[in-house]
Amino acid sequence: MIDILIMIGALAIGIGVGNLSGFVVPPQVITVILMILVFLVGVDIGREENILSKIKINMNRILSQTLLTIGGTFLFALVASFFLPFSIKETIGASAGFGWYSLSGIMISQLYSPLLGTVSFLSNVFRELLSILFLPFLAKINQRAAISTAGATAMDVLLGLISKSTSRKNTLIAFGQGVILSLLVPLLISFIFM
Amino acid sequence: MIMLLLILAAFATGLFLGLKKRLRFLAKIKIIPIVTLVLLFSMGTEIGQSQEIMDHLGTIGWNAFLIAAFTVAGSFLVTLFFLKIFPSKTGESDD
Repeated sequence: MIDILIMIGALAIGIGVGNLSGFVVPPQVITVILMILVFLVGVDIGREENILSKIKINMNRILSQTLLTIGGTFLFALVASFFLPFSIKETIGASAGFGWYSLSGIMISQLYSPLLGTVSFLSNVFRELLSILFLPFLAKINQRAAISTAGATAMDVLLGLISKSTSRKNTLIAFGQGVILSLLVPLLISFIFM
Repeated sequence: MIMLLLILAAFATGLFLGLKKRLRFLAKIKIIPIVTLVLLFSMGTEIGQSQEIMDHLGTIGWNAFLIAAFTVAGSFLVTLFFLKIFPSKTGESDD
């Protein structure tokens, strides 16, 4: 619980600093920090014995995991659309960032409308925050179902938390889910708003 | 796309070095949580600096929150449901 509060605190301080001082960590620097993080997680996963054969064995799990994450997200986005001033297509489209808010927000703003782009941005920010908040608790019920909530961020922002809350094997599945979803997000959004 | 490739390359490099049993000291100094905090702070500055986002937080924030709550619940419940119903097809049974 302390970990989550510290993480939210770090984000809140960042928002405060960005808003009050106008200081922004450049996107290139964020990319480099992301690279450092996934590098470190790579080292961490790699030092497990016989990891390559485990990836092969886990391929079925990684694919089913990703499909279930997409299915669950779209099905419940469809339900959510009945409570929102948006069509089914708009709501599913906004949810198709799977937590990757920067890309989904920008893409939807350009392909469809700035308003929905902003909604998508915020809903994916919230998805990431909700996942940070609840993943440690949900992981006690079922680790892989908890990993689904992280969506595409399972390979970066949430990866540290996932590696703390789940087994090494499930951390690997989470990373696989993040990689596949990150590849699919631009394709899915293009397809939905074509 | 380039960013994704860079990240994948960083992961592959880390994985390779990990497989070669290099850099084992990194596990001892618990550096992953620290880097995660730096990343969250950095993303916060991006959000806080964008006046458009800060202004819209109240008005459309609720709609966005609903979508997030539904999709987080949905991805958890649907995954849980299928793992329990089809444990062999999803690989959940051989844990």
